[in-house]
Amino acid sequence: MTLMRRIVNIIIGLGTIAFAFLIMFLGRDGLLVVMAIFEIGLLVYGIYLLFYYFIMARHMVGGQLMLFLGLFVLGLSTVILKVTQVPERGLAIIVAFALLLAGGLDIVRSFEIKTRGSQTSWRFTLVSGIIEAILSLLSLIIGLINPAFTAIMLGLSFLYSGVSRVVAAFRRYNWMRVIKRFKVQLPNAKA
Amino acid sequence: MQEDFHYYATYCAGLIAGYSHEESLVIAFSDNFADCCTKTFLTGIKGPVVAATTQSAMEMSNAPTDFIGLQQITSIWSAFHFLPGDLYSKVKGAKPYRDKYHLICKPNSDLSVKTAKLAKGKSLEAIGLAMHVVSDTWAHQNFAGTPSLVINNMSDYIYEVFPDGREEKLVFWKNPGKPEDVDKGNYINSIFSPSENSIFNLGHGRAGHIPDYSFIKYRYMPAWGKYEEVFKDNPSDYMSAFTQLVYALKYYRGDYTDFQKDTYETEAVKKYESEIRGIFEKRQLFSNEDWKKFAKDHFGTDLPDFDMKKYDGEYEKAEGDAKKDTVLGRFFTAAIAQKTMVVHEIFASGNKLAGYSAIPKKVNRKGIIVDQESIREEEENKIFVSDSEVRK
Repeated sequence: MTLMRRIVNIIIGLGTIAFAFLIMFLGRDGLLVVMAIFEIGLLVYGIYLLFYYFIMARHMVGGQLMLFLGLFVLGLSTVILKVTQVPERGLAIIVAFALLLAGGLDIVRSFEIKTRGSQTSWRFTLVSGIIEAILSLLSLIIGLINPAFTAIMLGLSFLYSGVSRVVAAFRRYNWMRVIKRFKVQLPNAKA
Repeated sequence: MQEDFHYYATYCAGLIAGYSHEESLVIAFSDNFADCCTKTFLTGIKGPVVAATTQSAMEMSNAPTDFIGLQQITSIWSAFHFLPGDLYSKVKGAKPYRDKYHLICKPNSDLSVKTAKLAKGKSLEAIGLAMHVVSDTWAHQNFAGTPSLVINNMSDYIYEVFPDGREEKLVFWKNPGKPEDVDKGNYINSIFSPSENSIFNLGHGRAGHIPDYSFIKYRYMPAWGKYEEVFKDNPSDYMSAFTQLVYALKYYRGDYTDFQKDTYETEAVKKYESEIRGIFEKRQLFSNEDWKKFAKDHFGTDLPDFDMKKYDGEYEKAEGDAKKDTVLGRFFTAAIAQKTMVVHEIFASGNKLAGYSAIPKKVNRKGIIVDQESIREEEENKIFVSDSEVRK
Protein backbone atom coordinates (compact mmCIF):
# COMPACT_ATOMS: atom_id res chain seq x y z
CA MET A 1 0.00 0.00 0.00
CA THR A 2 1.47 3.35 -0.99
CA LEU A 3 1.72 6.24 1.45
CA MET A 4 -0.98 8.15 -0.45
CA ARG A 5 -3.32 5.14 -0.36
CA ARG A 6 -2.77 4.80 3.38
CA ILE A 7 -3.60 8.48 3.93
CA VAL A 8 -6.77 8.13 1.80
CA ASN A 9 -7.72 5.00 3.81
CA ILE A 10 -7.27 6.86 7.10
CA ILE A 11 -9.47 9.75 5.87
CA ILE A 12 -12.20 7.38 4.58
CA GLY A 13 -11.96 5.31 7.78
CA LEU A 14 -12.38 8.35 10.02
CA GLY A 15 -15.30 9.55 7.84
CA THR A 16 -16.96 6.13 8.17
CA ILE A 17 -16.52 6.19 11.96
CA ALA A 18 -18.12 9.65 12.12
CA PHE A 19 -20.97 8.44 9.89
CA ALA A 20 -21.47 5.39 12.15
CA PHE A 21 -21.94 7.60 15.21
CA LEU A 22 -24.34 9.84 13.23
CA ILE A 23 -26.55 6.86 12.33
CA MET A 24 -26.59 5.62 15.91
CA PHE A 25 -27.42 9.12 17.13
CA LEU A 26 -30.26 9.64 14.62
CA GLY A 27 -31.85 6.25 15.37
CA ARG A 28 -34.72 5.52 12.94
CA ASP A 29 -33.90 8.61 10.82
CA GLY A 30 -30.41 7.22 10.44
CA LEU A 31 -31.84 4.38 8.40
CA LEU A 32 -33.30 6.87 5.92
CA VAL A 33 -29.91 8.54 5.55
CA VAL A 34 -28.28 5.16 4.83
CA MET A 35 -30.99 4.33 2.30
CA ALA A 36 -30.62 7.65 0.52
CA ILE A 37 -26.87 7.10 0.14
CA PHE A 38 -27.44 3.50 -0.92
CA GLU A 39 -29.99 4.58 -3.56
CA ILE A 40 -27.75 7.26 -5.00
CA GLY A 41 -24.89 4.76 -5.10
CA LEU A 42 -26.97 2.23 -6.98
CA LEU A 43 -28.26 4.85 -9.41
CA VAL A 44 -24.74 6.07 -10.18
CA TYR A 45 -23.49 2.48 -10.55
CA GLY A 46 -26.34 1.61 -12.94
CA ILE A 47 -25.57 4.64 -15.12
CA TYR A 48 -21.85 3.79 -14.99
CA LEU A 49 -22.55 0.21 -16.17
CA LEU A 50 -24.59 1.45 -19.16
CA PHE A 51 -21.85 3.94 -20.01
CA TYR A 52 -19.25 1.17 -19.62
CA TYR A 53 -21.21 -1.09 -21.96
CA PHE A 54 -21.39 1.48 -24.75
CA ILE A 55 -17.75 2.58 -24.39
CA MET A 56 -16.06 -0.77 -23.84
CA ALA A 57 -18.05 -3.89 -23.03
CA ARG A 58 -19.97 -4.00 -26.32
CA HIS A 59 -16.72 -5.09 -27.97
CA MET A 60 -16.27 -7.97 -25.53
CA VAL A 61 -17.39 -11.58 -25.93
CA GLY A 62 -20.44 -11.82 -23.65
CA GLY A 63 -20.40 -8.04 -23.11
CA GLN A 64 -24.21 -7.86 -23.20
CA LEU A 65 -24.09 -9.04 -19.61
CA MET A 66 -22.95 -5.55 -18.62
CA LEU A 67 -25.91 -4.01 -20.46
CA PHE A 68 -28.38 -6.27 -18.65
CA LEU A 69 -26.61 -5.71 -15.34
CA GLY A 70 -26.76 -1.93 -15.85
CA LEU A 71 -30.48 -2.05 -16.64
CA PHE A 72 -31.10 -4.33 -13.65
CA VAL A 73 -29.22 -2.06 -11.23
CA LEU A 74 -31.04 1.02 -12.55
CA GLY A 75 -34.35 -0.81 -12.14
CA LEU A 76 -33.40 -1.91 -8.64
CA SER A 77 -32.49 1.63 -7.61
CA THR A 78 -35.91 2.81 -8.84
CA VAL A 79 -37.66 0.07 -6.88
CA ILE A 80 -35.72 0.95 -3.73
CA LEU A 81 -36.68 4.59 -4.24
CA LYS A 82 -40.30 3.48 -3.93
CA VAL A 83 -39.48 1.34 -0.91
CA THR A 84 -38.58 4.49 1.09
CA GLN A 85 -42.30 5.19 1.15
CA VAL A 86 -42.97 1.96 3.07
CA PRO A 87 -42.37 1.29 6.80
CA GLU A 88 -38.87 1.46 8.23
CA ARG A 89 -38.81 -2.28 8.78
CA GLY A 90 -38.49 -2.75 5.00
CA LEU A 91 -35.57 -0.32 4.87
CA ALA A 92 -33.81 -2.09 7.68
CA ILE A 93 -34.08 -5.41 5.88
CA ILE A 94 -32.76 -4.02 2.56
CA VAL A 95 -29.79 -2.26 4.14
CA ALA A 96 -28.98 -5.31 6.26
CA PHE A 97 -29.09 -7.50 3.12
CA ALA A 98 -26.71 -5.15 1.32
CA LEU A 99 -24.24 -5.37 4.21
CA LEU A 100 -24.60 -9.14 4.28
CA LEU A 101 -23.72 -9.22 0.59
CA ALA A 102 -20.64 -7.05 1.18
CA GLY A 103 -19.52 -9.38 4.00
CA GLY A 104 -20.08 -12.45 1.80
CA LEU A 105 -18.04 -10.91 -1.02
CA ASP A 106 -15.19 -10.23 1.40
CA ILE A 107 -15.21 -13.89 2.46
CA VAL A 108 -15.07 -15.05 -1.18
CA ARG A 109 -12.32 -12.52 -1.88
CA SER A 110 -10.24 -13.79 1.04
CA PHE A 111 -10.23 -17.32 -0.44
CA GLU A 112 -9.19 -15.85 -3.77
CA ILE A 113 -6.30 -13.99 -2.11
CA LYS A 114 -5.26 -17.23 -0.39
CA THR A 115 -5.30 -19.04 -3.74
CA ARG A 116 -2.90 -16.47 -5.10
CA GLY A 117 -0.43 -17.34 -2.34
CA SER A 118 -0.73 -14.49 0.13
CA GLN A 119 -0.25 -15.73 3.68
CA THR A 120 -1.30 -12.71 5.72
CA SER A 121 -3.85 -10.40 4.10
CA TRP A 122 -6.36 -13.15 3.34
CA ARG A 123 -6.95 -13.82 7.06
CA PHE A 124 -7.63 -10.14 7.68
CA THR A 125 -10.14 -10.03 4.79
CA LEU A 126 -11.78 -13.28 5.95
CA VAL A 127 -12.22 -12.07 9.53
CA SER A 128 -13.57 -8.72 8.24
CA GLY A 129 -16.05 -10.52 6.01
CA ILE A 130 -17.24 -12.83 8.82
CA ILE A 131 -17.69 -9.94 11.28
CA GLU A 132 -19.55 -7.88 8.65
CA ALA A 133 -21.79 -10.85 7.86
CA ILE A 134 -22.55 -11.52 11.57
CA LEU A 135 -23.34 -7.85 12.24
CA SER A 136 -25.61 -7.63 9.20
CA LEU A 137 -27.40 -10.87 10.16
CA LEU A 138 -27.96 -9.48 13.67
CA SER A 139 -29.24 -6.23 12.05
CA LEU A 140 -31.62 -8.28 9.96
CA ILE A 141 -33.03 -10.23 12.91
CA ILE A 142 -33.25 -7.22 15.22
CA GLY A 143 -34.69 -5.10 12.37
CA LEU A 144 -37.68 -7.41 12.20
CA ILE A 145 -38.32 -6.85 15.92
CA ASN A 146 -37.49 -3.16 16.27
CA PRO A 147 -36.09 -0.96 13.42
CA ALA A 148 -34.59 1.51 15.89
CA PHE A 149 -32.15 -1.13 17.10
CA THR A 150 -31.23 -1.84 13.49
CA ALA A 151 -29.81 1.66 13.22
CA ILE A 152 -27.54 0.90 16.18
CA MET A 153 -26.46 -2.41 14.64
CA LEU A 154 -25.78 -0.77 11.29
CA GLY A 155 -23.88 1.95 13.09
CA LEU A 156 -21.74 -0.73 14.69
CA SER A 157 -21.14 -2.31 11.26
CA PHE A 158 -19.96 1.00 9.85
CA LEU A 159 -17.88 1.62 12.96
CA TYR A 160 -16.14 -1.72 12.46
CA SER A 161 -15.61 -0.98 8.75
CA GLY A 162 -14.06 2.43 9.57
CA VAL A 163 -11.80 1.08 12.29
CA SER A 164 -10.60 -1.81 10.10
CA ARG A 165 -9.70 0.69 7.35
CA VAL A 166 -7.66 2.78 9.75
CA VAL A 167 -5.99 -0.36 11.17
CA ALA A 168 -5.19 -1.58 7.62
CA ALA A 169 -3.60 1.78 6.84
CA PHE A 170 -1.18 1.37 9.75
CA ARG A 171 -0.41 -2.29 9.14
CA ARG A 172 3.21 -3.23 8.45
CA TYR A 173 4.40 0.22 7.67
CA ASN A 174 7.71 1.67 8.55
CA TRP A 175 6.65 5.18 9.51
CA MET A 176 10.20 5.97 10.61
CA ARG A 177 11.32 5.53 7.02
CA VAL A 178 8.74 8.06 5.87
CA ILE A 179 9.84 10.48 8.53
CA LYS A 180 13.47 10.09 7.41
CA ARG A 181 12.54 10.32 3.74
CA PHE A 182 10.74 13.62 4.16
CA LYS A 183 13.29 14.76 6.72
CA VAL A 184 10.62 15.48 9.32
CA GLN A 185 12.20 16.96 12.44
CA LEU A 186 11.18 14.93 15.45
CA PRO A 187 10.97 16.78 18.78
CA ASN A 188 13.99 16.13 20.94
CA ALA A 189 13.03 13.94 23.88
CA LYS A 190 15.48 15.62 26.24
CA ALA A 191 14.23 19.07 25.37
CA MET B 1 6.00 -19.32 -18.37
CA GLN B 2 7.32 -20.78 -15.18
CA GLU B 3 10.61 -21.56 -13.52
CA ASP B 4 11.14 -24.65 -15.70
CA PHE B 5 11.44 -22.55 -18.84
CA HIS B 6 12.78 -19.29 -17.43
CA TYR B 7 15.59 -20.91 -15.48
CA TYR B 8 16.20 -24.50 -16.59
CA ALA B 9 15.41 -24.21 -20.32
CA THR B 10 17.13 -20.82 -20.58
CA TYR B 11 20.28 -22.31 -19.04
CA CYS B 12 20.25 -25.03 -21.72
CA ALA B 13 19.60 -22.42 -24.44
CA GLY B 14 22.68 -20.55 -23.17
CA LEU B 15 24.84 -23.66 -23.46
CA ILE B 16 23.53 -24.39 -26.99
CA ALA B 17 24.25 -20.78 -28.01
CA GLY B 18 27.86 -21.19 -26.87
CA TYR B 19 27.92 -19.56 -23.45
CA SER B 20 29.89 -21.22 -20.65
CA HIS B 21 28.28 -22.94 -17.65
CA GLU B 22 28.90 -19.90 -15.41
CA GLU B 23 27.62 -17.41 -17.98
CA SER B 24 24.53 -19.50 -18.69
CA LEU B 25 23.81 -19.69 -14.96
CA VAL B 26 23.78 -15.90 -14.62
CA ILE B 27 21.58 -15.51 -17.71
CA ALA B 28 19.17 -18.15 -16.43
CA PHE B 29 19.14 -16.67 -12.92
CA SER B 30 18.31 -13.20 -14.25
CA ASP B 31 15.65 -14.61 -16.56
CA ASN B 32 13.81 -16.31 -13.71
CA PHE B 33 14.56 -13.57 -11.18
CA ALA B 34 12.20 -11.31 -13.15
CA ASP B 35 9.39 -13.36 -11.55
CA CYS B 36 10.77 -12.76 -8.04
CA CYS B 37 11.87 -9.13 -7.94
CA THR B 38 8.97 -7.51 -6.06
CA LYS B 39 8.83 -4.20 -4.22
CA THR B 40 8.67 -6.14 -0.96
CA PHE B 41 11.90 -7.96 -1.85
CA LEU B 42 13.59 -4.72 -2.93
CA THR B 43 12.57 -2.97 0.27
CA GLY B 44 14.06 -5.87 2.24
CA ILE B 45 17.48 -5.57 0.61
CA LYS B 46 17.31 -1.75 0.38
CA GLY B 47 17.32 -1.82 -3.41
CA PRO B 48 15.67 0.68 -5.76
CA VAL B 49 11.92 -0.11 -5.65
CA VAL B 50 11.54 1.35 -9.13
CA ALA B 51 13.36 -1.77 -10.39
CA ALA B 52 10.50 -4.09 -9.38
CA THR B 53 9.78 -6.51 -12.21
CA THR B 54 6.76 -8.25 -10.70
CA GLN B 55 4.22 -7.99 -7.90
CA SER B 56 3.58 -10.50 -5.14
CA ALA B 57 0.08 -11.77 -4.39
CA MET B 58 -0.10 -9.50 -1.37
CA GLU B 59 1.09 -6.47 -3.31
CA MET B 60 -1.55 -7.14 -5.95
CA SER B 61 -4.36 -7.64 -3.47
CA ASN B 62 -3.45 -4.33 -1.82
CA ALA B 63 -2.83 -2.47 -5.09
CA PRO B 64 -5.31 0.32 -5.72
CA THR B 65 -6.81 0.35 -9.22
CA ASP B 66 -7.32 4.08 -9.53
CA PHE B 67 -5.60 5.82 -12.45
CA ILE B 68 -2.19 6.10 -10.75
CA GLY B 69 -2.45 2.57 -9.33
CA LEU B 70 -3.27 1.21 -12.78
CA GLN B 71 -0.22 2.93 -14.22
CA GLN B 72 2.01 1.30 -11.61
CA ILE B 73 0.55 -2.14 -12.29
CA THR B 74 0.68 -1.74 -16.07
CA SER B 75 4.24 -0.40 -16.11
CA ILE B 76 5.43 -3.59 -14.42
CA TRP B 77 3.33 -6.23 -16.16
CA SER B 78 3.51 -4.73 -19.66
CA ALA B 79 7.24 -4.13 -19.52
CA PHE B 80 8.30 -7.55 -18.22
CA HIS B 81 5.57 -10.13 -18.77
CA PHE B 82 3.04 -8.97 -21.38
CA LEU B 83 4.99 -6.95 -23.90
CA PRO B 84 2.46 -5.12 -26.13
CA GLY B 85 2.26 -6.60 -29.63
CA ASP B 86 1.19 -3.58 -31.62
CA LEU B 87 0.73 -0.17 -30.01
CA TYR B 88 -0.68 1.29 -33.22
CA SER B 89 -3.01 -1.47 -34.46
CA LYS B 90 -6.27 -0.29 -35.95
CA VAL B 91 -9.33 -1.25 -33.94
CA LYS B 92 -12.81 0.18 -33.69
CA GLY B 93 -13.93 1.59 -30.37
CA ALA B 94 -13.61 4.51 -28.00
CA LYS B 95 -10.14 5.56 -26.83
CA PRO B 96 -10.34 3.81 -23.42
CA TYR B 97 -11.03 0.55 -25.27
CA ARG B 98 -8.35 1.13 -27.91
CA ASP B 99 -5.76 1.93 -25.23
CA LYS B 100 -6.36 -1.39 -23.53
CA TYR B 101 -6.54 -3.30 -26.83
CA HIS B 102 -3.13 -1.93 -27.86
CA LEU B 103 -1.56 -3.55 -24.81
CA ILE B 104 -2.40 -7.10 -25.92
CA CYS B 105 0.78 -9.16 -25.90
CA LYS B 106 2.05 -10.78 -29.14
CA PRO B 107 5.37 -12.38 -30.11
CA ASN B 108 7.60 -10.96 -32.85
CA SER B 109 6.57 -7.38 -32.24
CA ASP B 110 8.56 -4.18 -32.72
CA LEU B 111 8.85 -3.89 -28.95
CA SER B 112 10.17 -7.43 -28.79
CA VAL B 113 12.98 -6.45 -31.16
CA LYS B 114 13.66 -3.27 -29.17
CA THR B 115 13.79 -5.31 -25.96
CA ALA B 116 16.32 -7.73 -27.45
CA LYS B 117 18.45 -4.92 -28.88
CA LEU B 118 18.38 -2.95 -25.63
CA ALA B 119 20.41 -5.70 -23.96
CA LYS B 120 23.05 -5.83 -26.72
CA GLY B 121 26.47 -4.95 -25.34
CA LYS B 122 25.10 -4.90 -21.81
CA SER B 123 25.60 -7.29 -18.89
CA LEU B 124 24.64 -10.98 -18.76
CA GLU B 125 21.93 -9.95 -16.30
CA ALA B 126 20.45 -7.59 -18.91
CA ILE B 127 20.52 -10.44 -21.43
CA GLY B 128 18.73 -12.75 -18.98
CA LEU B 129 16.04 -10.16 -18.32
CA ALA B 130 15.52 -9.57 -22.06
CA MET B 131 15.16 -13.33 -22.53
CA HIS B 132 12.43 -13.38 -19.91
CA VAL B 133 10.47 -10.67 -21.69
CA VAL B 134 10.89 -12.21 -25.14
CA SER B 135 9.97 -15.75 -24.08
CA ASP B 136 6.90 -14.52 -22.16
CA THR B 137 5.56 -12.96 -25.37
CA TRP B 138 4.97 -16.54 -26.58
CA ALA B 139 3.25 -17.90 -23.50
CA HIS B 140 1.28 -14.76 -22.65
CA GLN B 141 0.13 -13.82 -26.12
CA ASN B 142 -3.50 -12.66 -26.40
CA PHE B 143 -3.53 -11.26 -22.85
CA ALA B 144 -2.70 -7.73 -21.72
CA GLY B 145 -0.49 -6.65 -18.83
CA THR B 146 -3.14 -4.37 -17.43
CA PRO B 147 -6.31 -5.17 -15.46
CA SER B 148 -9.10 -5.30 -18.06
CA LEU B 149 -12.32 -7.26 -18.18
CA VAL B 150 -12.93 -6.50 -21.86
CA ILE B 151 -9.50 -7.83 -22.88
CA ASN B 152 -8.55 -10.55 -20.40
CA ASN B 153 -11.86 -12.12 -19.45
CA MET B 154 -12.48 -15.75 -20.42
CA SER B 155 -15.82 -17.19 -21.37
CA ASP B 156 -16.73 -20.80 -20.52
CA TYR B 157 -15.86 -21.69 -24.11
CA ILE B 158 -12.46 -23.32 -23.57
CA TYR B 159 -11.58 -26.87 -24.62
CA GLU B 160 -8.39 -28.86 -24.21
CA VAL B 161 -7.31 -30.65 -27.40
CA PHE B 162 -5.49 -33.93 -26.68
CA PRO B 163 -2.82 -35.46 -28.97
CA ASP B 164 -5.31 -38.14 -30.13
CA GLY B 165 -7.72 -35.42 -31.30
CA ARG B 166 -10.11 -35.86 -28.37
CA GLU B 167 -11.47 -32.66 -26.84
CA GLU B 168 -12.58 -31.94 -23.29
CA LYS B 169 -14.08 -28.83 -21.75
CA LEU B 170 -11.66 -27.21 -19.31
CA VAL B 171 -13.14 -26.71 -15.87
CA PHE B 172 -11.68 -24.25 -13.42
CA TRP B 173 -11.96 -24.89 -9.68
CA LYS B 174 -12.31 -22.21 -7.05
CA ASN B 175 -11.32 -24.39 -4.10
CA PRO B 176 -7.97 -23.08 -2.84
CA GLY B 177 -7.42 -26.28 -0.88
CA LYS B 178 -7.45 -28.30 -4.08
CA PRO B 179 -4.09 -28.20 -5.87
CA GLU B 180 -3.83 -28.13 -9.66
CA ASP B 181 -3.77 -31.62 -11.12
CA VAL B 182 -3.08 -31.94 -14.83
CA ASP B 183 -4.09 -35.60 -14.92
CA LYS B 184 -7.50 -34.99 -13.39
CA GLY B 185 -7.93 -31.68 -15.20
CA ASN B 186 -8.15 -29.58 -12.02
CA TYR B 187 -7.15 -26.02 -12.86
CA ILE B 188 -7.56 -22.86 -10.81
CA ASN B 189 -8.28 -19.40 -12.17
CA SER B 190 -9.22 -16.02 -10.70
CA ILE B 191 -12.89 -15.34 -9.93
CA PHE B 192 -15.06 -13.38 -12.34
CA SER B 193 -15.22 -9.72 -11.44
CA PRO B 194 -17.54 -7.42 -13.41
CA SER B 195 -15.25 -4.51 -12.58
CA GLU B 196 -13.17 -3.49 -15.61
CA ASN B 197 -10.07 -2.65 -13.57
CA SER B 198 -10.26 -5.41 -10.98
CA ILE B 199 -6.90 -7.01 -10.25
CA PHE B 200 -8.59 -10.37 -10.96
CA ASN B 201 -8.73 -9.31 -14.62
CA LEU B 202 -4.96 -8.83 -14.90
CA GLY B 203 -3.05 -10.76 -17.56
CA HIS B 204 -4.00 -14.43 -17.86
CA GLY B 205 -5.49 -14.65 -14.36
CA ARG B 206 -8.88 -15.59 -15.78
CA ALA B 207 -7.26 -18.42 -17.74
CA GLY B 208 -5.35 -19.64 -14.69
CA HIS B 209 -1.93 -21.15 -15.38
CA ILE B 210 -3.03 -22.73 -18.66
CA PRO B 211 -0.82 -20.45 -20.82
CA ASP B 212 2.16 -21.35 -18.59
CA TYR B 213 1.97 -25.10 -19.24
CA SER B 214 4.11 -26.15 -22.18
CA PHE B 215 2.22 -29.42 -22.88
CA ILE B 216 -1.29 -28.11 -23.35
CA LYS B 217 -3.20 -27.41 -26.56
CA TYR B 218 -6.54 -25.67 -26.29
CA ARG B 219 -9.06 -23.60 -28.16
CA TYR B 220 -10.99 -20.70 -26.68
CA MET B 221 -12.54 -17.33 -27.40
CA PRO B 222 -10.53 -14.37 -26.14
CA ALA B 223 -12.74 -11.56 -24.79
CA TRP B 224 -11.45 -9.13 -27.42
CA GLY B 225 -11.71 -11.58 -30.33
CA LYS B 226 -15.18 -10.69 -31.72
CA TYR B 227 -16.40 -14.25 -31.13
CA GLU B 228 -13.62 -15.78 -33.23
CA GLU B 229 -12.02 -18.94 -31.89
CA VAL B 230 -8.28 -19.09 -31.19
CA PHE B 231 -6.33 -22.34 -31.19
CA LYS B 232 -3.33 -22.26 -28.89
CA ASP B 233 -0.63 -24.86 -29.47
CA ASN B 234 1.67 -24.41 -26.48
CA PRO B 235 4.26 -27.11 -27.40
CA SER B 236 4.86 -25.43 -30.77
CA ASP B 237 4.87 -21.94 -29.25
CA TYR B 238 7.35 -23.02 -26.59
CA MET B 239 9.56 -24.55 -29.27
CA SER B 240 9.46 -21.24 -31.17
CA ALA B 241 10.29 -19.39 -27.96
CA PHE B 242 13.25 -21.68 -27.31
CA THR B 243 14.70 -21.36 -30.82
CA GLN B 244 14.19 -17.59 -30.74
CA LEU B 245 16.02 -17.52 -27.40
CA VAL B 246 19.00 -19.38 -28.87
CA TYR B 247 18.97 -17.00 -31.86
CA ALA B 248 18.94 -13.96 -29.54
CA LEU B 249 21.75 -15.40 -27.41
CA LYS B 250 23.85 -16.02 -30.51
CA TYR B 251 23.15 -12.42 -31.54
CA TYR B 252 24.54 -11.22 -28.19
CA ARG B 253 27.62 -13.35 -28.70
CA GLY B 254 28.21 -11.69 -32.07
CA ASP B 255 27.24 -14.64 -34.30
CA TYR B 256 24.63 -12.38 -35.92
CA THR B 257 25.00 -8.68 -36.56
CA ASP B 258 21.31 -7.88 -36.24
CA PHE B 259 18.28 -9.19 -34.34
CA GLN B 260 15.27 -9.57 -36.58
CA LYS B 261 11.74 -10.62 -35.83
CA ASP B 262 10.36 -13.98 -36.90
CA THR B 263 13.86 -15.47 -36.99
CA TYR B 264 14.80 -18.66 -35.15
CA GLU B 265 17.98 -20.65 -34.58
CA THR B 266 16.76 -23.98 -35.92
CA GLU B 267 20.19 -25.13 -37.10
CA ALA B 268 21.89 -25.25 -33.71
CA VAL B 269 18.79 -26.74 -32.06
CA LYS B 270 18.19 -29.36 -34.78
CA LYS B 271 20.37 -31.93 -33.03
CA TYR B 272 18.27 -31.76 -29.85
CA GLU B 273 14.89 -30.98 -31.40
CA SER B 274 13.04 -34.23 -30.75
CA GLU B 275 14.25 -34.38 -27.14
CA ILE B 276 13.30 -30.75 -26.44
CA ARG B 277 9.92 -31.22 -28.10
CA GLY B 278 9.45 -34.30 -25.91
CA ILE B 279 10.05 -32.23 -22.77
CA PHE B 280 7.56 -29.60 -23.90
CA GLU B 281 4.90 -32.19 -24.74
CA LYS B 282 5.26 -34.18 -21.51
CA ARG B 283 2.13 -33.75 -19.39
CA GLN B 284 3.53 -32.32 -16.14
CA LEU B 285 3.38 -29.12 -14.08
CA PHE B 286 7.15 -28.56 -14.03
CA SER B 287 9.88 -29.99 -16.25
CA ASN B 288 12.87 -28.93 -14.11
CA GLU B 289 14.31 -32.44 -13.78
CA ASP B 290 14.07 -33.11 -17.52
CA TRP B 291 16.08 -29.97 -18.30
CA LYS B 292 18.68 -30.85 -15.68
CA LYS B 293 19.05 -34.25 -17.29
CA PHE B 294 19.28 -32.61 -20.73
CA ALA B 295 22.16 -30.40 -19.57
CA LYS B 296 23.95 -33.33 -17.93
CA ASP B 297 23.53 -35.66 -20.93
CA HIS B 298 24.61 -33.22 -23.64
CA PHE B 299 26.97 -30.81 -21.92
CA GLY B 300 28.07 -32.72 -18.82
CA THR B 301 27.11 -29.84 -16.51
CA ASP B 302 25.29 -29.99 -13.19
CA LEU B 303 22.57 -27.38 -13.04
CA PRO B 304 21.88 -26.31 -9.44
CA ASP B 305 18.29 -25.55 -8.50
CA PHE B 306 17.16 -21.95 -8.66
CA ASP B 307 17.87 -20.00 -5.49
CA MET B 308 16.42 -16.50 -5.51
CA LYS B 309 18.55 -15.44 -2.51
CA LYS B 310 21.78 -16.50 -4.16
CA TYR B 311 23.11 -12.97 -4.68
CA ASP B 312 21.38 -11.06 -1.84
CA GLY B 313 24.46 -11.07 0.39
CA GLU B 314 26.75 -9.76 -2.35
CA TYR B 315 24.40 -6.81 -2.94
CA GLU B 316 23.85 -6.01 0.73
CA LYS B 317 27.56 -6.08 1.54
CA ALA B 318 28.51 -3.75 -1.34
CA GLU B 319 28.80 -0.07 -0.46
CA GLY B 320 27.53 2.92 -2.47
CA ASP B 321 28.28 2.79 -6.19
CA ALA B 322 29.81 -0.69 -5.83
CA LYS B 323 26.24 -2.02 -5.55
CA LYS B 324 25.81 -1.36 -9.27
CA ASP B 325 28.61 -3.82 -10.01
CA THR B 326 26.93 -6.75 -8.29
CA VAL B 327 24.69 -9.32 -10.01
CA LEU B 328 21.56 -7.79 -8.51
CA GLY B 329 22.80 -4.25 -9.17
CA ARG B 330 23.27 -5.03 -12.85
CA PHE B 331 19.86 -6.70 -12.92
CA PHE B 332 18.23 -3.61 -11.39
CA THR B 333 19.95 -1.36 -13.93
CA ALA B 334 18.65 -3.56 -16.75
CA ALA B 335 15.15 -3.62 -15.25
CA ILE B 336 15.00 0.17 -15.00
CA ALA B 337 16.23 0.44 -18.61
CA GLN B 338 13.57 -2.00 -19.85
CA LYS B 339 10.76 -0.35 -17.89
CA THR B 340 11.82 3.13 -19.03
CA MET B 341 11.91 1.99 -22.66
CA VAL B 342 8.51 0.25 -22.63
CA VAL B 343 6.73 3.00 -20.67
CA HIS B 344 8.20 5.55 -23.05
CA GLU B 345 7.05 3.61 -26.13
CA ILE B 346 3.52 3.18 -24.73
CA PHE B 347 3.36 6.84 -23.74
CA ALA B 348 4.69 7.94 -27.14
CA SER B 349 1.84 6.06 -28.81
CA GLY B 350 -0.61 8.36 -26.99
CA ASN B 351 -1.49 5.77 -24.36
CA LYS B 352 -1.12 6.84 -20.72
CA LEU B 353 -2.05 3.50 -19.14
CA ALA B 354 1.55 2.63 -18.26
CA GLY B 355 2.41 6.09 -16.96
CA TYR B 356 4.36 9.03 -18.21
CA SER B 357 7.63 8.84 -20.06
CA ALA B 358 10.72 9.66 -18.01
CA ILE B 359 12.48 10.71 -21.21
CA PRO B 360 12.16 14.43 -21.92
CA LYS B 361 11.74 15.43 -25.53
CA LYS B 362 14.90 17.24 -26.61
CA VAL B 363 14.59 18.73 -30.06
CA ASN B 364 17.05 20.51 -32.28
CA ARG B 365 16.38 23.76 -34.13
CA LYS B 366 14.63 21.88 -36.90
CA GLY B 367 12.23 20.33 -34.38
CA ILE B 368 13.72 16.83 -34.67
CA ILE B 369 14.11 14.73 -31.51
CA VAL B 370 17.83 14.18 -30.94
CA ASP B 371 19.96 11.55 -29.25
CA GLN B 372 17.15 9.76 -27.45
CA GLU B 373 19.28 6.77 -26.49
CA SER B 374 21.71 8.84 -24.45
CA ILE B 375 18.83 10.77 -22.85
CA ARG B 376 17.30 7.47 -21.84
CA GLU B 377 20.51 6.17 -20.29
CA GLU B 378 20.95 9.46 -18.46
CA GLU B 379 17.43 9.25 -17.02
CA GLU B 380 17.83 5.60 -15.97
CA ASN B 381 21.00 6.49 -14.13
CA LYS B 382 19.29 9.37 -12.33
CA ILE B 383 16.42 7.14 -11.18
CA PHE B 384 18.80 4.46 -9.91
CA VAL B 385 21.04 6.83 -8.01
CA SER B 386 18.28 8.98 -6.53
CA ASP B 387 16.28 6.00 -5.32
CA SER B 388 19.28 4.31 -3.78
CA GLU B 389 20.29 7.50 -2.03
CA VAL B 390 16.84 7.97 -0.55
CA ARG B 391 17.02 4.46 0.87
CA LYS B 392 20.46 5.01 2.36
